[in-house]
Amino acid sequence: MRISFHTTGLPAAAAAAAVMYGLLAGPTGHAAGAGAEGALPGIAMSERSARQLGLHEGAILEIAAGATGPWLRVRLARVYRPTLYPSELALRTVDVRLHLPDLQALEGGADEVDSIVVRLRRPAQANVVAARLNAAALGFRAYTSADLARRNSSTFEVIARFHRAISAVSILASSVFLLAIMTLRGEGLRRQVGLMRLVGISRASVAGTVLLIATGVALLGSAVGIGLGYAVSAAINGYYRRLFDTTLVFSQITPALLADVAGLSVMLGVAAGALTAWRLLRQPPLRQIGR
Amino acid sequence: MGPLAFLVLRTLRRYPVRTALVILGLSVTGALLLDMTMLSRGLEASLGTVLSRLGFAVRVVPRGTLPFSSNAEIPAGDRLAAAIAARPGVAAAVPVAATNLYVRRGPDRFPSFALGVPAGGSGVYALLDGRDLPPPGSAGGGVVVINRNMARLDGVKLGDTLVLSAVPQPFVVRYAAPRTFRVVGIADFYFDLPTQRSVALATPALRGLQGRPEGAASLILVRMDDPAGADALARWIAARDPHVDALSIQGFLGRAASQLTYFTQFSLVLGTISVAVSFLLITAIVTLSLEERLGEIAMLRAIGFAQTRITGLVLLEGVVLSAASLPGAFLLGLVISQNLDAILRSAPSVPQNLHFFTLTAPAALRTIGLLLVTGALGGLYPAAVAARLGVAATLHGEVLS
Repeated sequence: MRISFHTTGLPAAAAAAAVMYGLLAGPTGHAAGAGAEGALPGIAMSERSARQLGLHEGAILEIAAGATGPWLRVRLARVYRPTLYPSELALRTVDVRLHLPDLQALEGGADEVDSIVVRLRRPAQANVVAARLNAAALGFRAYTSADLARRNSSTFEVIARFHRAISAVSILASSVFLLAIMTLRGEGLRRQVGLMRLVGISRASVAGTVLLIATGVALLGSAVGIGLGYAVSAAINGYYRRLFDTTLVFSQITPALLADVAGLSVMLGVAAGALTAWRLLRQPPLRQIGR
Repeated sequence: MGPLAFLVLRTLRRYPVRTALVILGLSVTGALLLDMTMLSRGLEASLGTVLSRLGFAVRVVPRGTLPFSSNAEIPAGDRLAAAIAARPGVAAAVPVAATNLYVRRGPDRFPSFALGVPAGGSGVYALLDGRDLPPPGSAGGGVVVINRNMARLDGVKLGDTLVLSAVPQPFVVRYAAPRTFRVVGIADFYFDLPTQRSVALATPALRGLQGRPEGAASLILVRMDDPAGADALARWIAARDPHVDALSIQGFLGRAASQLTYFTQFSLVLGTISVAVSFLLITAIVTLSLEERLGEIAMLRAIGFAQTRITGLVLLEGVVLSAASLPGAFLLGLVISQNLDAILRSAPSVPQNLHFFTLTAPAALRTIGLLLVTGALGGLYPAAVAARLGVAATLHGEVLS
């Protein structure tokens, strides 16, 4: 485990600024060459950014911290494929990586950094070290990796809550659907139920039969739904992986999720079946067969 | 149409529980459809409403960006703004500089979004209390206008003194010395985040804090006498300076929409599922219900109802079920959308006055149209069954049963 501490508490817009300076970069039109150009400061650029700007390794660029310069000539030394955080996927900004002294020189020569990443010999001590650093109060704030993950994932937590709320509405819709179908089936079964009761089959057996039918319908529906879910999940992953040029998994069906779906289906099936059975059994058998 | 409507209503009233359940189910799926229709363009519509209210017809930004989405600047922003202001039909062109600063008040220090404007009355924010920034070059500089968050969360009041700095620890930096400013106004800064502190000051003062020369701008806001000329002006600006994008409100919304693909695609997927569920529900219920009424249908055919009228009868049943679910769908949809909107707005980086779910006339009409068409489509299969019914065989079977 690593522990990071930030020198600033600037909002996200400022954190992105260092990356955004790369937007000021533009190809000068010179081909990569040896000699003096080889001595230029080297920079690295993500594959996506290089593709966006039409650059290749060895290209010469001019970059600046502000629109009015001063401009620094640099050489694109490396094009790399970064491991993106989920929050970075949709960003379409050009990002440039410089050696720290080069960036500091570009920024005016001040000995400043946005963050320092600290690797501990004993990672379990991360909380203690972070607390000790914060107590020093030297104008920075220290976070453990877990803290940072929590802070950076708040957007995804909101999206997860949104998905859960949508799921609740979907469950409500499917419950009503199931209930409507079972009500119709129940009405269709009325005559048969009346006959079953007249030949001596107990109310419990009749109710059990209706419950079984409802649960069976719910389980069968779940099985089809799960199959459909796998297909949609595969399509989502295929589409978004291609769209964002990443190997991240966007949709995942876990055993726990399958258990939840099956459990919920059984519960809904039993509830719909119980309601239908109650509606069927409250009428006398003779009336059910139309006498 | 009269006898068909009469028969449909009689049929639906004959099975009240079944009809109520179908209408309830369609209301829920209809509510979801309405919400997804609202979501698909909601943020865009909400943004469009706010942008139209601000009164700026064109926004000029560094090429490929959106306002304040990066630290990129228009190199000769002031000059470009002056050239735009000289164009016919342009009421004002306001160059705005933006950056992040640190604000210190006594022992407290907090990061703040800072806007550099040429003078007060620029329309970049709406003054709520106190007075605005003075005109350029006038005495009484060294003043700032703050946003409500800074007043509410940090207790900053009119007349308070703030120290603004480009860096958190000024003593370690060779440039950009901190400066003292007096708070003269409290304003509503459009598109502020829920806890974002914002401050507006004169552009020269902001550039001084940054240790940068004047002339560049993050954004140029253009107010026009007749906003209808916005597209023509945008084309002129783009032709004059290839390093900028001039965006009319529609152009701005189009660019913003390209960054909102998640919501568009999510709403498309879920909207399609809602329509599919509504379709299945109507098809299943009307088909099952039809099976119980085969004798009745055969009787209608026997007394002279044409095949086409029988088909119309069943299709109308699906449409009436959909139509009956509309009030519930809208009521439930609006309640659910408020809750979903509150969830999404609790995300960080969502401006205070934007909404994800916006009920617009096109969204409402699209939902109504989709539900009614789904109702008709849902009735297609049972209608075909009813139309193919053998009259004599069915009636014979009914008599025997």
